[in-house]
Amino acid sequence: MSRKKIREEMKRLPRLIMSVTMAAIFWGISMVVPPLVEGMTVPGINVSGRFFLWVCFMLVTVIFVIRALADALSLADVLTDIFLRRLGAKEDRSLIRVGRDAIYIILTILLASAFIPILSSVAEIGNMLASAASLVALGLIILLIYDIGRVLYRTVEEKAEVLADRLVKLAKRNRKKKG
Amino acid sequence: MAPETILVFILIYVLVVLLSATETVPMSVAALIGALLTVWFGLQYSVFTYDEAIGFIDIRLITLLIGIMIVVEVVDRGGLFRLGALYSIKLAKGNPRVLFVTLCIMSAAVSMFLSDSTAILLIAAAAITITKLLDYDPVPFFISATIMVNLGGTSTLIGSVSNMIIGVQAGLSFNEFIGYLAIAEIILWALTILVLYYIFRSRLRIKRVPPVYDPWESIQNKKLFWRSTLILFLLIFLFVLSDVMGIGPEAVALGCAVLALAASEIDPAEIFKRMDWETIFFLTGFLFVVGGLERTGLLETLSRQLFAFAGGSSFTATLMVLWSSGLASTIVSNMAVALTFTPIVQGFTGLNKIPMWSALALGTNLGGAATPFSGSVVIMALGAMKKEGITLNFSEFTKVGFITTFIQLAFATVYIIVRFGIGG
Repeated sequence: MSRKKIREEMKRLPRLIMSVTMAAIFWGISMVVPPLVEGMTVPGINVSGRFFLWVCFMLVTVIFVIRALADALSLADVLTDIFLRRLGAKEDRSLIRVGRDAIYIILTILLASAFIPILSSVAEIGNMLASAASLVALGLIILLIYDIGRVLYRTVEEKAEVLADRLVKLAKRNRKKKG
Repeated sequence: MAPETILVFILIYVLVVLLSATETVPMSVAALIGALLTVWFGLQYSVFTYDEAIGFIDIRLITLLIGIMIVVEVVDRGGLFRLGALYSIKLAKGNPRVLFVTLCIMSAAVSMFLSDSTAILLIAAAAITITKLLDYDPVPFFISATIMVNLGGTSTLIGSVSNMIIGVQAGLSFNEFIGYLAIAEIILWALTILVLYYIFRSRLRIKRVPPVYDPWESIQNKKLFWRSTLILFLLIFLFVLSDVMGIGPEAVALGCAVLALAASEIDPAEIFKRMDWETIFFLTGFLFVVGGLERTGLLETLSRQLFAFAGGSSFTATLMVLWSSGLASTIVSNMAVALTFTPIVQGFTGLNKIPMWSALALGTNLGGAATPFSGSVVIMALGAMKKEGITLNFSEFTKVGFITTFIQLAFATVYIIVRFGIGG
């Protein structure tokens, strides 16, 4: 991924924050407002007012959540690229890339297992440090697992395209023969 | 032992295998990272003490390996192997088919004494010279030489590092190795050459006149040649007699290495520089990784479960060892496979272990040239080809490699059953 593309993708960050905030606000409203119309029925459709308002607010919340998820996935893509570039991983053949991701996952687990007991032995802040280290390790592992999924998806997609091309060619050849 | 502790040691093992297979770091560094992590966690979880960890290094195995490497390096500098290769080319008289068969036999023969990586460098140089000089298609010669180098030395204790591991850890002598496996190796040579010839027959048609040369001209230092040749024969002679003399093969190897260093009059630093330190450090590091796994009791449990799965049958257990080690060697370094399988085979109590050791030797050796990822010998051969501007399709090698490996393993199955009478 080029730097320009990364910069463009990073513009999604404010939009993501906005979407998450809006989703949180509407979710909050969906909890607070509907009880205010308890006992009322919406005329014409004969549905309780509380339920009707809850559905409306939840729909808006879901829309913002979907937008946020799309942006989050895009950003995760960029973050994974930046992270793996820092680690020195190149755009290898898929199997080797998956292998390298697995190496980093195992290394993260082992290093976390080795250092967490040392961190927890630090007086007073030991437990906090250990929890922070665990969380960082978990975050890295999730990022790497995401990369494995992404690489495998790309490989399957490429194979499917090749297969589709072959089928189209085969169909054309058959049509020519019949024609 | 707590499951989390066992999991940590499994992860270390997988990490080393992945680091080597993906070539993220050199093989030796991968094993040393594994060794470091094993010692760290072993001490942290009190799986073993520091003194016990030091004991993981099998000094007999490392001594045998270093001794053989020194002797072979001196013999190689003497020119014996080069002379043999040049004579075999001369004998072919420019006939590509005869030359093909001769080069195959020469590759396997040289590899019986030299390490696979040294042998392939020597044979690759010979193959490049011949094919360029006579304008032959280099691909059949290269692929076949690589497969034959991998096959050569399957029946000798010093033929491959995996054999040295099995021999030392199982306590098999030089004579026992030959006794159990020599016939298999001879038939495997013939069978493999036949298969390779059949695959490449259409590319070995045009005959060209070879240049006239005297192979002896390649020997620059006659004194070194005779001395080193004598030491090589002495090494083999002493290996044969080591049973009677009651000394281990490592003592013979080290003794002959000292003799070779003294008699060759070459600066020892030059010899040490050319030794395959990558293999020595890989073995040392991986011995720690396997030692750690062994201490967790996992390999013993695995051995017991495999024994139960085999239903106590020597037949099933042996074939399981043969095929699983053979298939594992197509992906992982055969040294790693041999080191992992030896404690497992040792755990098969109450069964005749000789067929299993033989199966393990065959499996680890035969699986080493199935794909370009199978071992260093293939990577080095492909590298030598690339340097000469010869491009080889990945799938072309894999196709030939897989066919020959499968046929070799199938034959090995029949051999083990017939030779040791373990049928059903």
